[in-house]
Amino acid sequence: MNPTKRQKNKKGLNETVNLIPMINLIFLLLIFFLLTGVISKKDNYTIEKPISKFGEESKNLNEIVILTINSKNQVYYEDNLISLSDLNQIINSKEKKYIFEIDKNAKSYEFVKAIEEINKQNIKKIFLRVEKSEEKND
Amino acid sequence: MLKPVSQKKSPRINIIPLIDIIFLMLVFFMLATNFSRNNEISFTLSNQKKVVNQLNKEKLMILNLKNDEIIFDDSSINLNDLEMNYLKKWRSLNYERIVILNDKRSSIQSLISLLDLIKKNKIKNVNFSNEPNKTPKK
Repeated sequence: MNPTKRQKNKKGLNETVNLIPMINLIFLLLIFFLLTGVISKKDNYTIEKPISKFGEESKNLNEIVILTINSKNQVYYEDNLISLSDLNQIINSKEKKYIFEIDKNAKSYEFVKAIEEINKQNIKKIFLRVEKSEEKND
Repeated sequence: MLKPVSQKKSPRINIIPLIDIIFLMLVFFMLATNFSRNNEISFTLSNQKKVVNQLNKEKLMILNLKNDEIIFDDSSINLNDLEMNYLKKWRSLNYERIVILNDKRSSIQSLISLLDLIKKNKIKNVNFSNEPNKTPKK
């Protein structure tokens, strides 16, 4: 290599690494995770949701109340084991959105009993969380 | 005597701690956020005891869910036969409403699969209940 060129290169070389583009990228990633993700509490129990072709993406405009029925047919509200007779204390507002998270192996009998209790409180609509099937709707 | 030439150092901000904190935040949000969207199906609750009671029993298609098996007219029927022989010909049949009766052993998945099939065939008059003599719920 021509020694004069090497000298020029050495002179022009900036010794510090430019960190600004990396910071820009990290900020962009951070903003992406902040805006698109939802920080949710992990449940103590695992629920395998029932599969349905007609599941629609949820729109939670109102305050939501999630009632969970696990595979052993135990009903949970906010991580507390409750009985169906306790539902009338939980269901106290028509403005709230009541969502059931039920294990697909749980008995439908419990679900129907729960909605009968809810119906006594004049709630007109309830929701059931499902796993949307990949099958195409005919 | 010659005085030493003072070397002026330009002030530089150390950005390494900033990068550390941003990285920490990025890792936190990457691990804590949840991107899964929830799918739901909705149920309209209404007291249709009168409607069902007023209908002639012959106008009701009563499907019993017994131990995840569909019983119609005292015989077991699978989902495919039910769709081909009844649900697809719904308009030509004499029925006005489907009533699903659960037993204590049927799973929520079998109820959802049956409701999916009914919805697929665009039948809207559906009620479900636990016991034959109790109010069916839509």
